[in-house]
Order: sequence, then C-alpha cells, then structure tokens
Amino acid sequence: MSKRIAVIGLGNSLRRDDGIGVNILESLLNNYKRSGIDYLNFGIAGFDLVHRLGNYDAALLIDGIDSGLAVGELKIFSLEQVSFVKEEAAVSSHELNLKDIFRLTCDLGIKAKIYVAGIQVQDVGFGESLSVALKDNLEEITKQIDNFIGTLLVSK
Amino acid sequence: MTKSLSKIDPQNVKVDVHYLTRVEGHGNIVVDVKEGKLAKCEFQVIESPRFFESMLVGRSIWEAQHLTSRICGICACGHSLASIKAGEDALGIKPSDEVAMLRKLLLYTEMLDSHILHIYILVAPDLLGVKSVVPLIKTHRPVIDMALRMKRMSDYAGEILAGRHIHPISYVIGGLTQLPSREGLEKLYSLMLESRKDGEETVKIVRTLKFPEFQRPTQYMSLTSDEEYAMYDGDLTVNGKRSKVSDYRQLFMESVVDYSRAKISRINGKSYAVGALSRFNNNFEKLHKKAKAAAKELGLKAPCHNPYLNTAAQLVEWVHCLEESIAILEKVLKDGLKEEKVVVSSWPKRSEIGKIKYKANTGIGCVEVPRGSLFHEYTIDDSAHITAANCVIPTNQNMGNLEDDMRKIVPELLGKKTQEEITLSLEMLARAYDPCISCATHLLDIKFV
Repeated sequence: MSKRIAVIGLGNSLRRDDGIGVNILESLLNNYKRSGIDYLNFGIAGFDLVHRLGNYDAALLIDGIDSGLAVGELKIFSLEQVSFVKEEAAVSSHELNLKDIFRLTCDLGIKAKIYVAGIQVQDVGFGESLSVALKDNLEEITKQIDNFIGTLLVSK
Repeated sequence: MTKSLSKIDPQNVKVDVHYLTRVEGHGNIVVDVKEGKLAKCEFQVIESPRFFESMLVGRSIWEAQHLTSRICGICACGHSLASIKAGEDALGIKPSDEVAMLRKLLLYTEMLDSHILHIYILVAPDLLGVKSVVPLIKTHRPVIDMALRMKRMSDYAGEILAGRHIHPISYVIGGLTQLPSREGLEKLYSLMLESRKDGEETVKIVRTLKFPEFQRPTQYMSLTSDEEYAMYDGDLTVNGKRSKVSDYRQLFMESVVDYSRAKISRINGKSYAVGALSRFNNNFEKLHKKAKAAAKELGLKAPCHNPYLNTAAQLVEWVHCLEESIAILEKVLKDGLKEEKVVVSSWPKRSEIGKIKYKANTGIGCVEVPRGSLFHEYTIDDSAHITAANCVIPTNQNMGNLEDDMRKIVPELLGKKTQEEITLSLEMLARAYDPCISCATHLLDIKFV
C-alpha cells in the first residue's frame, strides 16, 4: 500500500504574511501538483488537524514562522527539532495551540510523521498582500517545498 | 484544587489573568478589590477584529463572502451566511426555499462542530480539574475518542456541503456554486445517525458534571421565529419583545471603553447576553422534542439565569441541530436537489463586475452563530461596490454582560474562596461565554534546538 501523504497550508490570508502557507499551497496546486498527495487548505482551523493527521503516514504543514531568519527564508524541520517559544504560538482554534495539537496527536497514538515547512515572515498586520520579500521568493520557496515533497514520496 | 491554601483577605483582592487560555484570541481579566470595594472589574480585549470592515470597503459585493468566510476559523460558515444575506438584502435577491434549507443545514453543522469543541475541549478540563484536554487522553480516553468522532462528523459535513471543511466556498449570493454530491450526503446522513448515540452518551456525561452555582437574570437577545427554533432567519427578540433585524441599530447601542478594544453593547442602557443560553431561554418551545428531553435530563429549565450553564444549553442545541440536520437530509435524499433551484446562474462575469448598474442600497444579514447573533451590514454604490460595512460579532455583545456577571460574583466569592479559586471561577465564567475574541494570527514563534 502506498504511503498516505498530506500537504497542509495553514494561515490567515487576511493577515498578510500569515497567509504564506495558504499562498504556497495554491502555488503547489497550480504548478507542481503530484498524484497520490492530498493538498489541504486548513486556513486558520486548528483542532481539526488532530483527527485529520490520523489519516496519513506523513504530513507537511506549510506555515509562517518567526525565528529570526531572513525574510522569506525557508526552513523545513520535523517537530522534534524545535521548541515553541510562546505557549500561545498557535493555530487559532480557541487557543488550542500547535504544540498542544502535536502533544494530542502523540498521546492519541497518531503515527503520522509531521514536518513543518516554515517561512520567515515580515508583516502579519491586516491586509491581503504578501510583503515584497515573500512575494519575490514565492516561486523559489514553492519549488524547494515541492522537492521536499518528492523526498517524502520515496522515503519509507 | 487549591483547598489547602488559606483564604484571602476579602478586603483586598487582585485578580490579573493576563491572556485567558482556551478561548480564541487574547483577553485579560482584571479585578481589583480595595478595602472591601470593587474598584475594578474588567474583561480587556486587547486585539480587534474590526479591521475586516475596512478591508471590505471598495470591494465588490460579489467578493464579500469569500473575504468574510476567512474572518474566523470556527464561525466561518456563519460569517459567510450573514455576509450572503446582507448582500442579497442589498441587491434585492431572494434565494429559493431549497437554498435556504441547505443554508440552515450548513449553519446547524457549524453549531454541531463548535459546540462539541467547546464542551469537550475547552470546558470539560475546568470541570474535571485539569489544565487542558491533554491529560484527559490518559484518564478519559473513550470520551476523548467519542468527542473526536463527533468532531469528525461535523468536519465532514462542511467538506460535503460547502466545498471544503473550513472557509466555505460553494455558498454564495443567490445559491450554491455546485450541488453537494449524493454520495457525500448519504455518508453524512449515515454519520449523523451514528452520532445520535454519542449525543445521548454526552448528555449522560455532562449530567454528572458539577457547574458552578450562580444566578443573575439579564436581557437575553436572539433571533426568534413562529416557525422554528430560529438560527437562520427571524425577528430579534429580547425577553419576549420583538424587533425587526433591520432595526438592530435602534435596538442596541455600541460604545467604546478605554481599557478594551472591543465595543460594549447595551440595550436600554443595560448589558445583555447572546448565544446558546439566550436562544434556549427565548425559544425553548421550538426545540426538537429530543432536545427538550436532553434539557430535562440535564436539569436545564427556561429561563435559566446561570451563565455557566451556557455549556449545557450548547449541548441541548447540539441535539436539536443533529435532529434538524437529519430531517433535512432525509428530505433531500428522498426528494433530490434540483440544480435549477440551487445552483446560481445569474452571477455577473468577472469582466462585467463594476460595469453593471445596480441600485445603490444598504443590506443587513443576521444569523445565529454558536456564540450568538451575528450581524453584517453593507452599503453598496451603483456598481455594487461596498462603500461602508459594519460587522457586529456576538463576543462583543457579550462583553458587558460578562463584566456585570463578574461584578456580581466577585463579592459573593470573597471570604469563601481562595485567590486561586476566585481566579478559576472568573476564568470559567469567561470561558462559559465561549468568547471568540479575534481572528487570531497563528504565527509560529519557535526556537531551533
């Protein structure tokens, strides 16, 4: 049976760079769509991730990060590689933060290997357009993320 | 949980909950009792969602739904439907009965989704004496599995009915962009039938939980209708007195306070409540008989003046919405959906937007969302572009009522409870309203190790 993989875009596209995950998801769908992958726009949903992740062997969450990198820099990591600085660093969903979501998935025995493609953001104020640095890098970031998705398909 | 601690000096108490947890967005609770007098009692909202209104100005009315469905991850369908109704009111469009029925179904499934999240994930930890849902996985695994099963059902509903499980795309002004698939509707029907036993089990569980005792009668506002338990349509009612939705600006007044970014709403100069408990109090007789039976089992009677029991009212509404959804699905599966009655055919082409002339007008849409009555009002010019927008969200409406509850409960607790117990009581009170403070940004602030 082939590996079940989800690529999930997170973020609020009404809050500028916060929507980068959703923007990249759209870009992947339009330019790099691969068969055998579920591309899901989760927007600002949070808790629903818990039971959705149970459907997959691996999931890549695409999201904005604030980690002191250069604006537009991409970092792909598994969750064991990071610690969350703020308790509330989170997908919205009533303050059930991403850290809790991952703890829930672990405690529930959900086996999906979870990766995050994090993109350093600049401005998460209200608005619909990405900051220039992100917009300029969008194609390159999308390409790099798609390359990583390719490695997920071949890895065991 | 903090019984070993000594009681506090009731003359001087400070409560400062900086960032209340298990609510959407950021809010603080600040209480200060000096020499026995309540000097300060505030629920401070420190972020504002109202920028969305300015984002709507200048946009075509045909785009409004897609923008507003992204205001909230929890009430995305409610914002969408209030927006659509406001747009239709402004444009003079009347949707078919079939479309109205499908909209009610969508609204019911959002209630199912949000209410079960609130009951099990946000409130149950308080009543079971733990910090969050995470420890409950070890101690109450079958219950958590059931809660997730109930969430999955309503999650699937959004996907089938609205094109995706969050931020609906297929419900638009005039109708739907596509028919939901029969296969999907059949599966949803089957999942809902299976959910009945989970609902019954949840009533049994919630019946055993002890909610704090507190009473404060207030003004309860909701939609009401002679036909049904109103959620999608109706008049506004406040303790039996009806008004037209179009008169909402005359009914309640919003004002600004210096410590909070949320406006405080008042009716006749007094705070009021919206949400499940208000709907339950105003419209009890219209509930489905199974929901009435659930209320009886829970010991919940209308009128109920204990805001902590908003959670119990949510469970009663869960039962109601499940039964109403099942009834709609039975009708749809029996009669089928006629494409010409449901799918929109009169939308302007993209190239025509801005060129077709319309009557400059104002439209208002109101629906009940999980936390209460939600209003969208748009003024459009003759090219159907929005020139003014006003969105009144339930959480803002509840803020004044929550503060009045706090003002009554704090003196009642002084001398009887520890500082920690008073703090927890106030946190639980705020969470009972299920506040949805903002559409939070969800940026990850992380450190690589």
